[in-house]
Amino acid sequence: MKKNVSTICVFFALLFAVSPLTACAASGYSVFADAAFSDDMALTAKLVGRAPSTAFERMKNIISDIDGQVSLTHDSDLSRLNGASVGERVEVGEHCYRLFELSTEYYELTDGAFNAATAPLVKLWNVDAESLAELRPDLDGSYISPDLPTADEVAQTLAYCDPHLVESVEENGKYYLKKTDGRVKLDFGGIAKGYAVDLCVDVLDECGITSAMIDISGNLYLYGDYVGSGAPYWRVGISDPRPRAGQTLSRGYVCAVSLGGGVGAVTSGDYMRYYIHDNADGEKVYIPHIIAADGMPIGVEYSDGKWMNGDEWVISATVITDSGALGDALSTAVAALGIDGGGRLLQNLSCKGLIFTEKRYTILGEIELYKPDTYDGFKAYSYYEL
Amino acid sequence: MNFDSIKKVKRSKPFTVVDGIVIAVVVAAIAICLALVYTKKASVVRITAPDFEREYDLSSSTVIELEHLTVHIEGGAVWVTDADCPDKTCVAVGKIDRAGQSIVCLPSGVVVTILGEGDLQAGIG
Repeated sequence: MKKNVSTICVFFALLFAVSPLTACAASGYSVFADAAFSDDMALTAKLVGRAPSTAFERMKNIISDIDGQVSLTHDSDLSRLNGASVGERVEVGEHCYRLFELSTEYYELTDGAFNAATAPLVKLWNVDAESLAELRPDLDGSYISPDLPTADEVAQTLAYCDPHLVESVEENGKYYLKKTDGRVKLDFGGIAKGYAVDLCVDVLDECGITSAMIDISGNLYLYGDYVGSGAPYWRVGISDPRPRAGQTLSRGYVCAVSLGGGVGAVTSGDYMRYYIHDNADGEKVYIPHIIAADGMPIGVEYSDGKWMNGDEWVISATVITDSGALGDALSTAVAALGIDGGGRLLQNLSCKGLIFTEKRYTILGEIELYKPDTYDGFKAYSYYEL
Repeated sequence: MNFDSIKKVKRSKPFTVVDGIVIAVVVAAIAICLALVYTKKASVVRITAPDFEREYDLSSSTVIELEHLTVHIEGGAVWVTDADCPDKTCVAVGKIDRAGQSIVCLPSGVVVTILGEGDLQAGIG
Protein backbone atom coordinates (compact mmCIF):
# COMPACT_ATOMS: atom_id res chain seq x y z
CA MET A 1 0.00 0.00 0.00
CA LYS A 2 2.64 2.51 1.06
CA LYS A 3 4.87 1.51 -1.79
CA ASN A 4 2.07 2.24 -4.23
CA VAL A 5 1.49 5.71 -2.79
CA SER A 6 5.18 6.50 -3.13
CA THR A 7 5.33 5.26 -6.72
CA ILE A 8 2.31 7.32 -7.71
CA CYS A 9 3.79 10.33 -5.90
CA VAL A 10 7.12 10.04 -7.70
CA PHE A 11 5.38 9.56 -11.07
CA PHE A 12 3.32 12.70 -10.68
CA ALA A 13 6.28 14.56 -9.24
CA LEU A 14 8.35 13.76 -12.31
CA LEU A 15 5.48 14.58 -14.66
CA PHE A 16 4.86 17.94 -13.04
CA ALA A 17 8.52 18.73 -12.61
CA VAL A 18 9.54 17.87 -16.16
CA SER A 19 6.69 19.26 -18.23
CA PRO A 20 6.85 22.89 -17.08
CA LEU A 21 10.65 22.85 -17.19
CA THR A 22 10.72 21.76 -20.82
CA ALA A 23 8.13 24.40 -21.59
CA CYS A 24 10.41 26.96 -19.96
CA ALA A 25 13.39 25.84 -21.96
CA ALA A 26 11.34 26.10 -25.12
CA SER A 27 10.03 29.58 -24.38
CA GLY A 28 13.63 30.70 -23.78
CA TYR A 29 14.20 29.49 -27.38
CA SER A 30 17.84 30.41 -27.84
CA VAL A 31 19.05 27.00 -26.78
CA PHE A 32 22.03 27.51 -29.06
CA ALA A 33 22.93 30.86 -30.60
CA ASP A 34 26.15 31.84 -32.30
CA ALA A 35 27.60 34.01 -35.05
CA ALA A 36 30.45 33.45 -37.48
CA PHE A 37 32.05 35.45 -40.25
CA SER A 38 33.76 34.78 -43.52
CA ASP A 39 35.12 37.51 -45.79
CA ASP A 40 31.78 38.26 -47.42
CA MET A 41 29.18 36.59 -45.21
CA ALA A 42 27.98 36.94 -41.64
CA LEU A 43 26.15 33.90 -40.30
CA THR A 44 23.97 34.14 -37.23
CA ALA A 45 22.01 31.11 -36.10
CA LYS A 46 19.62 30.09 -33.36
CA LEU A 47 19.17 26.36 -33.22
CA VAL A 48 17.02 23.95 -31.26
CA GLY A 49 17.54 20.21 -31.67
CA ARG A 50 19.85 17.26 -31.34
CA ALA A 51 23.30 18.48 -32.41
CA PRO A 52 23.29 22.27 -32.70
CA SER A 53 27.02 22.84 -32.16
CA THR A 54 27.91 20.28 -34.83
CA ALA A 55 25.39 21.89 -37.16
CA PHE A 56 26.87 25.34 -36.51
CA GLU A 57 30.44 24.17 -37.14
CA ARG A 58 29.36 22.64 -40.44
CA MET A 59 27.51 25.81 -41.46
CA LYS A 60 30.62 27.85 -40.63
CA ASN A 61 32.66 25.59 -42.90
CA ILE A 62 30.10 26.02 -45.69
CA ILE A 63 30.29 29.81 -45.69
CA SER A 64 34.08 29.80 -45.56
CA ASP A 65 34.26 27.21 -48.38
CA ILE A 66 31.97 29.31 -50.57
CA ASP A 67 33.89 32.48 -49.75
CA GLY A 68 37.15 30.75 -50.58
CA GLN A 69 35.84 30.10 -54.06
CA VAL A 70 33.85 33.23 -54.94
CA SER A 71 34.90 36.14 -52.69
CA LEU A 72 36.26 39.09 -54.63
CA THR A 73 37.99 40.63 -51.64
CA HIS A 74 40.83 38.12 -51.78
CA ASP A 75 42.31 35.58 -54.15
CA SER A 76 39.59 33.07 -55.05
CA ASP A 77 38.54 30.92 -58.00
CA LEU A 78 36.22 33.68 -59.16
CA SER A 79 38.78 36.47 -58.83
CA ARG A 80 41.19 34.33 -60.88
CA LEU A 81 38.51 33.93 -63.54
CA ASN A 82 37.84 37.68 -63.55
CA GLY A 83 41.57 38.30 -64.06
CA ALA A 84 41.93 35.62 -66.75
CA SER A 85 42.28 36.33 -70.45
CA VAL A 86 39.96 35.16 -73.25
CA GLY A 87 39.89 31.38 -73.73
CA GLU A 88 41.96 30.64 -70.62
CA ARG A 89 40.38 27.68 -68.84
CA VAL A 90 40.21 28.36 -65.09
CA GLU A 91 39.61 25.42 -62.78
CA VAL A 92 37.08 26.36 -60.12
CA GLY A 93 35.52 24.65 -57.13
CA GLU A 94 32.09 23.06 -57.16
CA HIS A 95 30.41 25.98 -55.34
CA CYS A 96 31.77 28.46 -57.88
CA TYR A 97 30.62 26.27 -60.74
CA ARG A 98 27.13 25.71 -59.27
CA LEU A 99 26.76 29.42 -58.58
CA PHE A 100 27.63 30.17 -62.20
CA GLU A 101 25.08 27.62 -63.44
CA LEU A 102 22.39 29.04 -61.13
CA SER A 103 23.27 32.61 -62.12
CA THR A 104 22.80 31.93 -65.82
CA GLU A 105 19.57 30.01 -65.09
CA TYR A 106 18.18 32.96 -63.12
CA TYR A 107 19.43 35.44 -65.73
CA GLU A 108 17.16 33.72 -68.26
CA LEU A 109 14.31 33.23 -65.77
CA THR A 110 14.25 36.98 -65.07
CA ASP A 111 15.01 38.20 -68.62
CA GLY A 112 18.32 39.62 -67.48
CA ALA A 113 16.94 41.45 -64.43
CA PHE A 114 19.15 39.26 -62.26
CA ASN A 115 22.60 39.56 -63.78
CA ALA A 116 25.77 38.25 -62.12
CA ALA A 117 27.88 39.98 -64.78
CA THR A 118 27.14 43.63 -63.95
CA ALA A 119 30.40 44.20 -62.06
CA PRO A 120 31.80 46.61 -64.72
CA LEU A 121 28.58 48.67 -64.59
CA VAL A 122 28.62 48.62 -60.78
CA LYS A 123 32.14 50.07 -60.93
CA LEU A 124 31.20 52.58 -63.65
CA TRP A 125 28.33 53.89 -61.51
CA ASN A 126 30.43 53.87 -58.30
CA VAL A 127 27.86 51.73 -56.50
CA ASP A 128 30.37 49.11 -55.30
CA ALA A 129 30.75 48.78 -51.52
CA GLU A 130 33.94 50.81 -51.26
CA SER A 131 32.75 53.69 -53.44
CA LEU A 132 29.45 53.83 -51.56
CA ALA A 133 31.28 54.05 -48.23
CA GLU A 134 32.74 57.33 -49.55
CA LEU A 135 29.69 58.62 -51.41
CA ARG A 136 26.81 57.63 -49.11
CA PRO A 137 25.38 60.76 -47.46
CA ASP A 138 26.51 61.28 -43.89
CA LEU A 139 23.99 60.84 -41.10
CA ASP A 140 23.74 64.64 -40.85
CA GLY A 141 22.52 64.73 -44.47
CA SER A 142 25.68 66.19 -46.01
CA TYR A 143 26.89 64.53 -49.20
CA ILE A 144 29.34 64.83 -52.06
CA SER A 145 27.98 64.76 -55.59
CA PRO A 146 30.16 62.68 -57.91
CA ASP A 147 30.15 62.90 -61.72
CA LEU A 148 28.06 60.26 -63.45
CA PRO A 149 29.06 58.27 -66.54
CA THR A 150 27.77 59.34 -69.94
CA ALA A 151 24.92 57.44 -71.61
CA ASP A 152 27.43 56.23 -74.23
CA GLU A 153 29.77 54.81 -71.61
CA VAL A 154 26.82 52.96 -70.06
CA ALA A 155 25.79 51.45 -73.43
CA GLN A 156 29.38 50.42 -74.24
CA THR A 157 29.86 48.77 -70.84
CA LEU A 158 26.48 47.06 -70.91
CA ALA A 159 27.50 45.21 -74.09
CA TYR A 160 29.86 42.97 -72.16
CA CYS A 161 27.85 42.61 -68.95
CA ASP A 162 26.43 39.25 -69.91
CA PRO A 163 27.00 35.91 -68.12
CA HIS A 164 26.77 34.14 -71.49
CA LEU A 165 30.24 35.51 -72.24
CA VAL A 166 31.51 32.83 -69.85
CA GLU A 167 31.39 29.13 -70.69
CA SER A 168 31.31 26.29 -68.20
CA VAL A 169 32.75 22.80 -68.62
CA GLU A 170 32.52 19.82 -66.28
CA GLU A 171 35.13 17.21 -67.10
CA ASN A 172 36.27 14.14 -65.13
CA GLY A 173 34.72 15.50 -61.96
CA LYS A 174 36.53 18.83 -62.33
CA TYR A 175 34.94 22.18 -63.04
CA TYR A 176 36.16 24.88 -65.41
CA LEU A 177 35.01 28.35 -66.44
CA LYS A 178 36.27 30.18 -69.50
CA LYS A 179 35.72 33.72 -70.77
CA THR A 180 34.77 34.34 -74.38
CA ASP A 181 35.21 38.11 -73.89
CA GLY A 182 38.15 39.34 -71.84
CA ARG A 183 36.19 42.23 -70.35
CA VAL A 184 33.45 40.19 -68.67
CA LYS A 185 33.56 40.00 -64.87
CA LEU A 186 31.32 37.95 -62.58
CA ASP A 187 30.19 38.72 -59.05
CA PHE A 188 28.01 36.24 -57.14
CA GLY A 189 27.22 38.73 -54.35
CA GLY A 190 23.53 38.67 -55.31
CA ILE A 191 23.13 34.91 -55.01
CA ALA A 192 25.94 33.34 -52.94
CA LYS A 193 24.32 34.09 -49.59
CA GLY A 194 21.02 32.52 -50.58
CA TYR A 195 22.90 29.55 -52.03
CA ALA A 196 24.73 29.21 -48.70
CA VAL A 197 21.37 29.24 -46.91
CA ASP A 198 20.21 26.25 -48.97
CA LEU A 199 23.33 24.25 -48.07
CA CYS A 200 22.91 25.18 -44.39
CA VAL A 201 19.31 23.95 -44.45
CA ASP A 202 20.59 20.55 -45.61
CA VAL A 203 22.89 20.53 -42.57
CA LEU A 204 19.95 21.28 -40.26
CA ASP A 205 18.12 18.28 -41.73
CA GLU A 206 21.11 16.03 -41.13
CA CYS A 207 21.85 17.22 -37.58
CA GLY A 208 18.40 16.62 -36.15
CA ILE A 209 17.61 20.31 -35.72
CA THR A 210 13.90 20.77 -35.09
CA SER A 211 13.60 24.54 -35.03
CA ALA A 212 16.04 27.12 -36.32
CA MET A 213 16.46 30.64 -37.56
CA ILE A 214 19.52 31.31 -39.67
CA ASP A 215 20.56 34.60 -41.20
CA ILE A 216 23.36 34.90 -43.72
CA SER A 217 23.96 38.62 -44.30
CA GLY A 218 20.26 39.42 -44.57
CA ASN A 219 19.12 36.15 -46.12
CA LEU A 220 16.83 34.79 -43.43
CA TYR A 221 15.62 31.20 -43.24
CA LEU A 222 13.03 29.88 -40.79
CA TYR A 223 13.30 26.17 -40.20
CA GLY A 224 10.58 24.13 -38.52
CA ASP A 225 8.13 25.62 -36.07
CA TYR A 226 9.02 28.53 -33.83
CA VAL A 227 9.04 27.28 -30.24
CA GLY A 228 8.61 30.43 -28.14
CA SER A 229 5.47 32.43 -27.40
CA GLY A 230 3.33 32.77 -30.51
CA ALA A 231 4.46 29.33 -31.71
CA PRO A 232 4.38 27.79 -34.23
CA TYR A 233 4.61 30.99 -36.30
CA TRP A 234 7.68 33.10 -36.81
CA ARG A 235 7.19 36.87 -36.86
CA VAL A 236 9.52 38.90 -39.02
CA GLY A 237 9.67 42.66 -39.34
CA ILE A 238 10.49 44.33 -42.65
CA SER A 239 12.58 47.45 -42.12
CA ASP A 240 10.97 50.62 -43.37
CA PRO A 241 12.93 51.87 -46.41
CA ARG A 242 11.90 55.44 -45.63
CA PRO A 243 13.00 57.76 -44.29
CA ARG A 244 16.39 56.84 -45.69
CA ALA A 245 19.32 56.22 -43.42
CA GLY A 246 20.99 59.56 -43.11
CA GLN A 247 17.72 61.42 -42.79
CA THR A 248 17.02 59.87 -39.42
CA LEU A 249 18.84 57.62 -37.03
CA SER A 250 15.81 55.59 -36.05
CA ARG A 251 14.97 52.40 -37.89
CA GLY A 252 11.41 51.12 -37.70
CA TYR A 253 9.46 48.39 -39.44
CA VAL A 254 7.10 49.11 -42.31
CA CYS A 255 5.20 45.92 -41.44
CA ALA A 256 5.63 42.49 -39.90
CA VAL A 257 4.67 39.13 -41.31
CA SER A 258 3.77 35.85 -39.67
CA LEU A 259 5.42 32.87 -41.35
CA GLY A 260 5.33 29.11 -40.97
CA GLY A 261 8.61 27.16 -41.09
CA GLY A 262 10.38 26.01 -44.23
CA VAL A 263 10.75 29.39 -45.96
CA GLY A 264 13.43 31.93 -46.59
CA ALA A 265 12.82 35.68 -46.65
CA VAL A 266 15.12 38.29 -48.13
CA THR A 267 14.75 41.98 -48.91
CA SER A 268 16.47 44.15 -51.51
CA GLY A 269 16.14 47.90 -51.77
CA ASP A 270 17.96 51.20 -51.66
CA TYR A 271 18.02 51.25 -47.85
CA MET A 272 21.64 52.21 -47.29
CA ARG A 273 23.34 51.72 -50.59
CA TYR A 274 22.79 54.86 -52.61
CA TYR A 275 24.30 58.27 -53.16
CA ILE A 276 23.12 61.63 -54.43
CA HIS A 277 24.18 63.38 -57.62
CA ASP A 278 23.36 67.03 -58.29
CA ASN A 279 22.45 67.15 -61.97
CA ALA A 280 23.02 69.93 -64.53
CA ASP A 281 19.93 71.76 -63.29
CA GLY A 282 20.96 71.45 -59.65
CA GLU A 283 18.30 68.83 -58.96
CA LYS A 284 19.06 65.99 -56.54
CA VAL A 285 19.22 62.64 -58.30
CA TYR A 286 19.23 59.54 -56.07
CA ILE A 287 21.47 56.76 -57.39
CA PRO A 288 20.55 53.37 -55.84
CA HIS A 289 23.02 50.47 -56.06
CA ILE A 290 20.79 48.08 -58.03
CA ILE A 291 21.52 48.07 -61.77
CA ALA A 292 18.57 47.35 -64.05
CA ALA A 293 18.78 45.45 -67.36
CA ASP A 294 19.22 48.75 -69.28
CA GLY A 295 22.52 49.34 -67.49
CA MET A 296 21.22 52.18 -65.31
CA PRO A 297 20.63 52.14 -61.57
CA ILE A 298 16.92 51.64 -60.81
CA GLY A 299 14.94 54.87 -60.86
CA VAL A 300 17.59 56.69 -62.90
CA GLU A 301 17.03 57.85 -66.46
CA TYR A 302 18.73 60.08 -68.98
CA SER A 303 16.62 62.65 -70.75
CA ASP A 304 16.97 66.22 -72.06
CA GLY A 305 20.75 65.91 -71.71
CA LYS A 306 20.73 65.26 -67.97
CA TRP A 307 20.37 62.48 -65.45
CA MET A 308 17.18 62.45 -63.43
CA ASN A 309 15.00 60.19 -61.28
CA GLY A 310 11.88 58.57 -62.72
CA ASP A 311 8.48 58.83 -61.07
CA GLU A 312 8.93 55.84 -58.82
CA TRP A 313 11.14 52.81 -58.34
CA VAL A 314 11.25 49.85 -56.00
CA ILE A 315 12.63 50.92 -52.63
CA SER A 316 12.01 47.57 -50.91
CA ALA A 317 11.32 44.13 -52.41
CA THR A 318 10.85 41.17 -50.11
CA VAL A 319 10.67 37.67 -51.54
CA ILE A 320 9.43 34.70 -49.51
CA THR A 321 10.18 31.31 -50.99
CA ASP A 322 11.55 27.92 -49.97
CA SER A 323 14.75 28.27 -52.04
CA GLY A 324 17.38 30.59 -50.59
CA ALA A 325 19.29 31.01 -53.86
CA LEU A 326 16.16 31.75 -55.89
CA GLY A 327 14.85 34.19 -53.27
CA ASP A 328 18.18 36.02 -53.15
CA ALA A 329 18.30 36.42 -56.95
CA LEU A 330 14.60 37.28 -57.22
CA SER A 331 14.71 40.06 -54.62
CA THR A 332 17.26 41.88 -56.80
CA ALA A 333 15.38 41.02 -59.99
CA VAL A 334 12.08 42.32 -58.61
CA ALA A 335 13.73 45.58 -57.55
CA ALA A 336 15.23 45.89 -61.03
CA LEU A 337 11.96 45.11 -62.83
CA GLY A 338 9.73 47.50 -60.90
CA ILE A 339 6.44 46.96 -59.09
CA ASP A 340 4.54 45.67 -62.15
CA GLY A 341 7.23 43.57 -63.82
CA GLY A 342 8.61 42.31 -60.52
CA GLY A 343 5.15 41.53 -59.18
CA ARG A 344 4.24 39.57 -62.28
CA LEU A 345 7.51 37.62 -62.09
CA LEU A 346 6.69 36.55 -58.52
CA GLN A 347 3.16 35.60 -59.56
CA ASN A 348 4.45 33.50 -62.47
CA LEU A 349 6.87 31.67 -60.19
CA SER A 350 4.27 31.26 -57.41
CA CYS A 351 6.54 33.07 -54.95
CA LYS A 352 5.25 35.35 -52.22
CA GLY A 353 6.44 38.89 -51.80
CA LEU A 354 5.92 42.49 -50.75
CA ILE A 355 7.00 45.31 -53.03
CA PHE A 356 7.20 48.98 -52.10
CA THR A 357 7.86 52.02 -54.21
CA GLU A 358 7.95 55.49 -52.66
CA LYS A 359 4.22 55.83 -53.39
CA ARG A 360 2.58 52.41 -53.28
CA TYR A 361 2.92 48.79 -52.27
CA THR A 362 1.60 45.46 -53.38
CA ILE A 363 1.47 42.02 -51.79
CA LEU A 364 1.91 38.87 -53.86
CA GLY A 365 0.51 35.58 -52.62
CA GLU A 366 -1.15 34.82 -49.30
CA ILE A 367 0.84 36.62 -46.63
CA GLU A 368 -0.41 36.96 -43.09
CA LEU A 369 0.48 40.31 -41.59
CA TYR A 370 1.38 40.34 -37.92
CA LYS A 371 -0.11 43.07 -35.70
CA PRO A 372 -0.94 45.41 -38.61
CA ASP A 373 -2.13 48.01 -36.11
CA THR A 374 1.27 48.11 -34.42
CA TYR A 375 3.51 47.68 -37.45
CA ASP A 376 1.53 50.11 -39.52
CA GLY A 377 4.10 51.73 -41.81
CA PHE A 378 1.78 50.73 -44.68
CA LYS A 379 -0.18 53.93 -44.01
CA ALA A 380 2.48 55.95 -45.80
CA TYR A 381 1.91 53.98 -49.01
CA SER A 382 -1.23 53.36 -51.04
CA TYR A 383 -2.21 49.77 -51.80
CA TYR A 384 -1.82 48.75 -55.42
CA GLU A 385 -3.56 45.67 -56.76
CA LEU A 386 -1.53 44.04 -59.51
CA MET B 1 -11.80 -6.01 8.22
CA ASN B 2 -10.47 -6.97 11.65
CA PHE B 3 -9.28 -4.77 14.48
CA ASP B 4 -5.56 -5.39 13.86
CA SER B 5 -5.60 -4.12 10.31
CA ILE B 6 -7.48 -0.96 11.34
CA LYS B 7 -4.78 -0.25 13.94
CA LYS B 8 -2.11 -0.73 11.23
CA VAL B 9 -3.69 1.84 8.94
CA LYS B 10 -4.01 4.32 11.79
CA ARG B 11 -0.34 3.90 12.68
CA SER B 12 1.04 4.44 9.12
CA LYS B 13 1.79 8.13 8.51
CA PRO B 14 -0.02 9.74 5.52
CA PHE B 15 3.19 11.49 4.36
CA THR B 16 6.81 10.44 4.78
CA VAL B 17 9.78 12.80 4.67
CA VAL B 18 10.50 11.62 1.09
CA ASP B 19 6.95 12.48 -0.01
CA GLY B 20 7.40 15.93 1.52
CA ILE B 21 10.63 16.54 -0.42
CA VAL B 22 9.01 15.41 -3.65
CA ILE B 23 6.06 17.75 -3.15
CA ALA B 24 8.40 20.63 -2.26
CA VAL B 25 10.43 20.05 -5.44
CA VAL B 26 7.27 20.03 -7.57
CA VAL B 27 5.98 23.25 -6.03
CA ALA B 28 9.38 24.92 -6.47
CA ALA B 29 9.63 23.83 -10.10
CA ILE B 30 6.19 25.19 -10.92
CA ALA B 31 6.94 28.46 -9.11
CA ILE B 32 10.26 28.93 -10.94
CA CYS B 33 8.62 28.26 -14.31
CA LEU B 34 5.77 30.67 -13.69
CA ALA B 35 8.29 33.29 -12.62
CA LEU B 36 10.34 32.74 -15.80
CA VAL B 37 7.31 32.86 -18.04
CA TYR B 38 5.69 35.92 -16.54
CA THR B 39 8.72 38.08 -15.72
CA LYS B 40 9.30 40.51 -18.55
CA LYS B 41 13.03 40.72 -19.15
CA ALA B 42 14.63 44.12 -19.55
CA SER B 43 16.26 44.49 -22.98
CA VAL B 44 19.91 43.71 -23.05
CA VAL B 45 22.47 44.65 -25.70
CA ARG B 46 24.96 41.92 -26.49
CA ILE B 47 28.15 42.94 -28.22
CA THR B 48 30.40 40.23 -29.62
CA ALA B 49 33.71 40.82 -31.37
CA PRO B 50 36.62 38.47 -32.05
CA ASP B 51 38.12 39.02 -28.57
CA PHE B 52 35.20 40.57 -26.80
CA GLU B 53 31.80 39.52 -25.53
CA ARG B 54 29.72 41.53 -23.11
CA GLU B 55 26.15 42.43 -22.36
CA TYR B 56 24.88 45.89 -21.47
CA ASP B 57 21.57 47.20 -20.25
CA LEU B 58 19.74 48.89 -23.13
CA SER B 59 18.56 51.62 -20.75
CA SER B 60 22.13 52.48 -19.77
CA SER B 61 24.19 55.29 -21.25
CA THR B 62 27.53 53.96 -22.42
CA VAL B 63 30.14 54.37 -25.11
CA ILE B 64 32.12 51.22 -25.91
CA GLU B 65 35.26 51.75 -27.95
CA LEU B 66 36.23 48.57 -29.76
CA GLU B 67 39.28 48.11 -31.97
CA HIS B 68 37.55 48.92 -35.25
CA LEU B 69 34.42 50.83 -34.25
CA THR B 70 32.59 52.54 -31.41
CA VAL B 71 29.22 51.40 -30.06
CA HIS B 72 26.92 53.91 -28.39
CA ILE B 73 24.07 52.98 -26.05
CA GLU B 74 21.88 55.89 -25.07
CA GLY B 75 18.19 56.68 -24.71
CA GLY B 76 17.16 53.06 -25.24
CA ALA B 77 18.87 52.83 -28.63
CA VAL B 78 22.16 51.49 -29.95
CA TRP B 79 24.28 52.69 -32.86
CA VAL B 80 27.76 52.49 -34.29
CA THR B 81 30.17 55.28 -35.20
CA ASP B 82 33.84 55.62 -36.21
CA ALA B 83 34.09 52.34 -38.13
CA ASP B 84 37.40 51.91 -39.92
CA CYS B 85 36.06 49.19 -42.25
CA PRO B 86 35.89 49.83 -46.00
CA ASP B 87 32.09 49.73 -46.45
CA LYS B 88 30.82 51.38 -43.21
CA THR B 89 27.45 49.66 -43.55
CA CYS B 90 27.27 49.30 -39.77
CA VAL B 91 27.30 53.09 -39.37
CA ALA B 92 24.72 53.58 -42.12
CA VAL B 93 22.27 51.24 -40.35
CA GLY B 94 21.70 54.03 -37.85
CA LYS B 95 19.96 53.44 -34.54
CA ILE B 96 18.26 50.23 -33.51
CA ASP B 97 15.99 50.07 -30.49
CA ARG B 98 13.88 46.89 -30.65
CA ALA B 99 14.52 43.36 -29.38
CA GLY B 100 15.68 41.16 -32.26
CA GLN B 101 17.32 43.97 -34.23
CA SER B 102 21.04 43.79 -34.78
CA ILE B 103 23.94 45.61 -36.38
CA VAL B 104 26.57 43.44 -38.00
CA CYS B 105 29.97 44.70 -39.04
CA LEU B 106 31.32 42.04 -41.35
CA PRO B 107 34.92 43.23 -41.87
CA SER B 108 35.61 43.57 -38.14
CA GLY B 109 33.48 40.59 -37.01
CA VAL B 110 31.30 42.58 -34.62
CA VAL B 111 27.66 41.75 -33.86
CA VAL B 112 25.52 44.10 -31.78
CA THR B 113 22.16 42.52 -30.91
CA ILE B 114 19.28 43.66 -28.76
CA LEU B 115 18.13 40.65 -26.77
CA GLY B 116 14.91 40.50 -24.82
CA GLU B 117 11.24 39.77 -25.03
CA GLY B 118 10.35 41.38 -28.34
CA ASP B 119 7.38 40.12 -30.29
CA LEU B 120 9.35 39.73 -33.54
CA GLN B 121 11.98 37.06 -34.02
CA ALA B 122 13.88 38.83 -36.76
CA GLY B 123 14.05 41.85 -39.00
CA ILE B 124 14.98 41.97 -42.68
CA GLY B 125 15.78 44.76 -45.08
